[in-house]
Amino acid sequence: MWTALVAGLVALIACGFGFWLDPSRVLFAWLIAVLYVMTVVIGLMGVLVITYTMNAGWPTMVRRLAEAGMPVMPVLGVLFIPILVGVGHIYPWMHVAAFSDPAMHKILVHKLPYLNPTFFVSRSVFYLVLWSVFALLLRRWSVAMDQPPHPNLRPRLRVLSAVMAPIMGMTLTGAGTDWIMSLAPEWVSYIFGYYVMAVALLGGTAALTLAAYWNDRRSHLPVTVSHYYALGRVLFTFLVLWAYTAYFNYFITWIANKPSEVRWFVLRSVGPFRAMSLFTIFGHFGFPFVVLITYVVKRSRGLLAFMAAYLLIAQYFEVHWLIAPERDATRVFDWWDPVAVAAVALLSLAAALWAQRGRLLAPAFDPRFGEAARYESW
Amino acid sequence: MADTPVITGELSPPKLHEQLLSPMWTPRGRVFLFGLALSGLATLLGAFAITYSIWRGTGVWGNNIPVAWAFPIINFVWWIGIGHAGTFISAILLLLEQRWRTSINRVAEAMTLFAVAQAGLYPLLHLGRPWFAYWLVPYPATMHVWPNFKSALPWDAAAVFTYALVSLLFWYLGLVPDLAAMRDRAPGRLRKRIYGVFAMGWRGSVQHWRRYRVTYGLLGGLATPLVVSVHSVVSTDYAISLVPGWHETIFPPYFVGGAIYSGFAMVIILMVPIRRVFGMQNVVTTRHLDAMGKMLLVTGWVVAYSYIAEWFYAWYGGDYSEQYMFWHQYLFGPGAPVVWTALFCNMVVPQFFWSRRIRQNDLLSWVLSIFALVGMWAERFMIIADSLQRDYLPSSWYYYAPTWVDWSIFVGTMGFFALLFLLFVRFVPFIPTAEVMELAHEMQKEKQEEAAA
Repeated sequence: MWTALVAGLVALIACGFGFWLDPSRVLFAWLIAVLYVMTVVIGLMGVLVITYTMNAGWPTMVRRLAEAGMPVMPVLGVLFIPILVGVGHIYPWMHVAAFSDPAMHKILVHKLPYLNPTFFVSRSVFYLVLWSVFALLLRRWSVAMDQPPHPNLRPRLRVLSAVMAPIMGMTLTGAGTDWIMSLAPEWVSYIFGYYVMAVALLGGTAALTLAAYWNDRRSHLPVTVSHYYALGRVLFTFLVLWAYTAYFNYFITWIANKPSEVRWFVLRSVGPFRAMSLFTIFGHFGFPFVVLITYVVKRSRGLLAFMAAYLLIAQYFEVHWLIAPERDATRVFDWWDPVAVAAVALLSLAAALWAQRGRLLAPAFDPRFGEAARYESW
Repeated sequence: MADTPVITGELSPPKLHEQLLSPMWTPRGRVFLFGLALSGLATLLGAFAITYSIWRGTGVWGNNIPVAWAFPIINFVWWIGIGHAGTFISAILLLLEQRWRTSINRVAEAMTLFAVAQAGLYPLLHLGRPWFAYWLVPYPATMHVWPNFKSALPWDAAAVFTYALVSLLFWYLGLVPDLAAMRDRAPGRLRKRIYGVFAMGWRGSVQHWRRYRVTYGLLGGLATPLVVSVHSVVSTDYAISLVPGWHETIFPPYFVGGAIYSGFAMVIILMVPIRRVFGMQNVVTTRHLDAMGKMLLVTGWVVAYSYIAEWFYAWYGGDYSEQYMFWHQYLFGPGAPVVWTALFCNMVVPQFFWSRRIRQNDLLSWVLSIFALVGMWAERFMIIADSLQRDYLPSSWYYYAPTWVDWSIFVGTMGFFALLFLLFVRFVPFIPTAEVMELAHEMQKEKQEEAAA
């Protein structure tokens, strides 16, 4: 925990220094880094919401690992402040110069009631506060079951999750539109909300699988092959869900060929971002699809953990691919990108580990824990 | 509050066997015969309207440019959507190891087949010259003329045909052990012979069951992507175009959500009378109603979310025609009552299913499910007819109204659906007997283990 904290702080200070040198470059790198980690944390929230709502028993074994990610949400809210402060360095609709183009002028004036600094910042604060409160409640009520007299708070968590599910879907759509889609103000894709949800769920499940493996290897948690098999199936399902939304996002845009829409993909399919687009198809989808569809891999601890780690890394490229071309279409990476992601990821990891210290690694007093421990699936 | 078990009452095999199979040979009452006659009459009306349409040409319908896709395509999408719950219950719930699927999967699968049959009829008639329907198939033609694969029509043909084929195989495979049971138990030689032919020599040996399990699992895996793919393909019929209100990347998940929503509504509409008329409350319990109500709530939210997203992005995108379509034509245009009906039935009505009491009340669930089906039909009317009535050129705006032939064909498909369904519950074991018996056995074993512990 301390190593992650110190290393994260060093990277944070470096980013602060970079901000002084070139605020626009560092803020873009910071946006990519924060949204990458945020998609993973929201994915973990999504997994918790789905398992509570469906009243699933087996995920109880690994639930606390997902809950460890919940205290990261308010930390990410704080780490998002530089974006809100430096919004003018990132979003083109903040620049007067963007209005000089007649076509752009029309669209930007139309969107002004929505895309203006006050409303943008207010919405962002609303999303971050709401998600933070929800995340903390999810963890707090679960941890409360560990303490005598071990109240059964599952029904309360189930109601909270069911009510929050549509709210999460809508706020995530709003956040995706504000923070990512509005980087290209002329572009619109109606499926973008589902797309962001799928990205988050895939990343969250990958992180959860990796955490399960990590704790299993250290003999902290009695995770069985059946749990890995279940996690593997969920990972595969979300991989397909993400590919489905990504495919239709591309296909419908491509075949209709509207100038205002295809620009977004043209930017990513020619020039330096072409390689990254091909990686998205073959590296982020093709390879994991072929591997994860097999029964053997889903039941193999090591192989599944490897695929989870692979997908977690691929998720960074996905978020990068969504944002970076709007920064500079001629250059894929910036030196500040790894520094920013190191700062955000390490500080988030430190926050998760700090919140987890002294806590049970599994909700052993949850009424469904026994069922989860006995879970068998062939 | 603990959930009701998926089977209640006595779980003894002979009693269950008798209860589930005897409706096939118990004489039917007047109500059944009245239903049969009514659905038969409606089918005849549909057949007459179809014959008339082919005889006179499609000019007898209300379709006219720019509303070239009207009733036929609205009803095609509505019916094919209804079919989705069958595949969802058979395939996805099977892979998710959900026990509550067991008692209702046969009815849902049959419903799928009968709904797909109605759906498939419409694009064929809409071709105008249905006798050339085989042109949609990429057969080795002498002139090397192939279907235009960039057109959505061959996609639909491929998607619907695959769907119908896999659904039929899945349904029939599940039926084989029950048909064999009918062969062994049905009174009269003729019945025994007929069921015997369809049972294809099933003897229930270990080898038979092993092969059955493997094939059933494989078909489940094959059918799972179909739940999503068919309606996604259907949605691209619209989304690939430039028509305002159609060109939306959200259409595939939005259509799939709506399809499963209407499908579960139809399963409730069919299951509620079945459990009452045949006294099946012990195998189709409040647990089933509760689970189906939750599915309606979840998929209703998918639809509601999609509406919110499309109305918002129509404004956000800034395209004038798109804004006009969503914020004026839909809400205040000539089709506004239909649009408001869709919004009410698909956004407000599912919210009733938050209440467990409503979910477990069969009569209320049944009434709300009818609203859901009406809502989904209204949604298809909104998307298809309302969008086409007013596109980019105000000079070509047109007010669409269906003719008596359109309505007659629609009533005919409903009648044909009902007729097939009534014949199905008369002659085919509509509750999967073998599966229910196996589940009852498992539940009894679990009870004994719990008692021993």
